[in-house]
Amino acid sequence: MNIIEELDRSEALLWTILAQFEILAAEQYARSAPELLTPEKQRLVTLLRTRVQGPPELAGTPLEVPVAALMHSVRSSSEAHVLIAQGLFLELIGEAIYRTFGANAATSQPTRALCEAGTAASGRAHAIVPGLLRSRLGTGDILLRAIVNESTPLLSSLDDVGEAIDATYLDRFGVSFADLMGDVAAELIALCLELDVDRRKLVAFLTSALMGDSRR
Amino acid sequence: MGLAIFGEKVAAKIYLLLAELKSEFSPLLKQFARMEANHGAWFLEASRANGIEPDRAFADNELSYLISQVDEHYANKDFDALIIVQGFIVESLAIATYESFLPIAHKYPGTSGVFQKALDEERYHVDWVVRYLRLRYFDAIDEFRTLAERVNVKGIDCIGGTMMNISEYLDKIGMSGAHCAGAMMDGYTCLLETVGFDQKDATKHVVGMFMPLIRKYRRGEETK
Repeated sequence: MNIIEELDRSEALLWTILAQFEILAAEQYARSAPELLTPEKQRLVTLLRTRVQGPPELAGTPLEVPVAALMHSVRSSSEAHVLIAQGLFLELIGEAIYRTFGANAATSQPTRALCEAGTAASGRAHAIVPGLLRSRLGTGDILLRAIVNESTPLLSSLDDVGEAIDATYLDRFGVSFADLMGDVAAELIALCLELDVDRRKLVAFLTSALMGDSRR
Repeated sequence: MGLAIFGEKVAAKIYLLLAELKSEFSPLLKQFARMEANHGAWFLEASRANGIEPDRAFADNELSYLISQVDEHYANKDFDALIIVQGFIVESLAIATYESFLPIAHKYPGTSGVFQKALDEERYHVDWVVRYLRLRYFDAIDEFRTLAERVNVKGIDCIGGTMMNISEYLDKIGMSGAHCAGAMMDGYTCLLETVGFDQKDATKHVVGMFMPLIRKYRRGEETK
């Protein structure tokens, strides 16, 4: 059953965007990282395909351009890119979004139900990704180099999305991009430490990329 | 250099104020103040030896917000708030920039030795502050958390903002301002962890406060 028409416009926009990213993730996982196409992810994508249909369009909203840029930054189907950009970064971002909106008293019941499915899917990916990164890409400085190569475009476009998120969700839901990124960074750093990535180097890279510093 | 020189002088002033607030630590904190004043004097000498005139107006503009916070904490006789501002936040900025400067210090004769010594002494100050806070808030981590969150709101906005404002100048002399900012964030996060914040909690807290500053930097806006 399509839920879009019964949702508040900002919630409907949220699911329109998340559906785009989750469907792309499923396609990329199917091609390049089948271990991440888990039953939880398949269930989420099936739910999103059936329940998120039609308007609202992103066109004309503050989210249109930054979301398109972010989508463009994660389209490569190389295994390294899919594991890092999708499996690591976007899954952690998704996990933070699902957790935050799922626990938010201002969200609707359909949103909370979808967030529950999203949390299960991203949580499962979170559990699998470290092992895949270790076995496919390596650990320590080797992994960090791959992270730098594969995530810089994503991180560079992320802050613009953040600005649009704040414009759309801060007043109504009290959800800020800064808080979401705090969650993401905390999980990302903890996960990378388990893979012997040097913490100072990782934080310096993340800061540089978010600041849009191309002279690193 | 203006910020390093005049910032060290402000640091000396803050340690003197701290010495007034807790007499039991007064001799040590006065010694810290003398060390900070020495750093400022060494940096001024090294700066002039390299034909660099420190930009006083820039430094004053950056430091005025810090000084107003310091005065407020001092007026409230809030030693612990003041020690976090100086011992954690200001020192994190100093350590991150001095560490990053050392690899290029050879380009500026006479700076390597003084920046290395200053860095060693800043770390010594931080070690003492960590020890003080660990003892003070032993079994009272929630209280420390409340204090840190209160102090950080303005403290990070101020000092993190300065980090962003000097970033492009650091780039111009061959350092990476963004790398320094990352090092400051990570250094400060580690300090919060050392006193008792959970690792993820500390990261979330610090990143959440730096993100608005990073956005202003990307937009080319002044952070303060």
